[in-house]
Amino acid sequence: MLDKDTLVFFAKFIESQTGIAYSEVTFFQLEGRLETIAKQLGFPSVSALAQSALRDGIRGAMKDLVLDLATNNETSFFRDTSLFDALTQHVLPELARQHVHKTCRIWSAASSTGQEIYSIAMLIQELQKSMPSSSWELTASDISERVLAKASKGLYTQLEVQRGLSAQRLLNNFEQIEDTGDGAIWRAKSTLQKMISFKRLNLIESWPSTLGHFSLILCRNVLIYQTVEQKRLVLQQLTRHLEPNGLLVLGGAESLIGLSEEYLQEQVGSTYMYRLKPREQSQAS
Amino acid sequence: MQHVLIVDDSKAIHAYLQSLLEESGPRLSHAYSGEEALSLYPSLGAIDLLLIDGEMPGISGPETARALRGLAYKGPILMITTRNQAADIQHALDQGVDDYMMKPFTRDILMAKIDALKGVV
Repeated sequence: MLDKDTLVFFAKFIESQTGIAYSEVTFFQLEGRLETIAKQLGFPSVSALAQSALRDGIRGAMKDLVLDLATNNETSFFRDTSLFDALTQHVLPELARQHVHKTCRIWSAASSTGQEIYSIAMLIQELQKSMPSSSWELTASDISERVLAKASKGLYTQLEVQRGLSAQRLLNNFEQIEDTGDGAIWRAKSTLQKMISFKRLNLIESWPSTLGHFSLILCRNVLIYQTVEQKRLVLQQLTRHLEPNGLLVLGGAESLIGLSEEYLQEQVGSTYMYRLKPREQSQAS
Repeated sequence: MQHVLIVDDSKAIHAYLQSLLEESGPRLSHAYSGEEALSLYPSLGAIDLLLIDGEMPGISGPETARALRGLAYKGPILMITTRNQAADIQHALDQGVDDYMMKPFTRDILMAKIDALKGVV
């Protein structure tokens, strides 16, 4: 068992680095996470880990793991194999063929720390080797300035790049840099970054009219946290920004049932997406 | 995934990997050096995954990987390393390693890496 002062020490460090606040009510959760880290680093006990931190500061591998566990990191590159297989094998090649003479626009709404949009950018770069005449514009948005700043800089820690990125893709798309002070030592190459524009956007507030239209919108694992009314509002707005016949991708556990009549569910590979119905068809239903 | 060969000079890493893989239940074989891995390999039967330490006394992880590829091992090789310099990673890939993981690593990273390698034959 760690004493309260030690837990406060770790909690303050985490809050200063990530904005995530542990209160006394959640200290037991923090302690559990520190016990896991103690094992990973080979400390005989969590007390030994704490002694080391108090003596030498929280840095290096300990810092990476503390911040990683604190953020309860669920996001990764190429998260959801069935989705990215569908994008690779079906959706992106089809969009490339349709957009030889015009730019294909893709939007990652609620992009968080950017792994989703950078994954798509990597796939497009790989596709462009065989379809060089395709032209792409990627947009990523999130409500949080903090995660958007991280995403726009394309900076990731060693642990983050190991989530979902093979060694070859890492070397092809990222460059190593000096530690930025918060553990980030890999940066997305400029060839990826210049494909993407990052915008702050709250999905349940009014949206800028300049957002434009997209062929593909990803809005994964966002609607599940909304009320029914908010879901309908967000969907209406997303629909206004989809091109005719455009595709909407939701999270694996989400669906449009009861929320919108404007889409047809379509199986793509082993996953499902939603194709915007032609106007007259959606009006008839 | 039925049979995993772990090659690492640290008994603690063998124990840690064993604890992480217990739930998925593959048979584990253990070698504590590259030399031992090469000596054991012909008698081990089919291996579905090789987990190999990048830095070992004697023959290194990448050199062991290269030698095992020379012995016609075609399955996936995941290297566990303390070095993450791009040149070291590329060198390992050139020797036949499929992917790498830095120490310390978390269970979810290990399992995701293994999952991604399942298509590698």
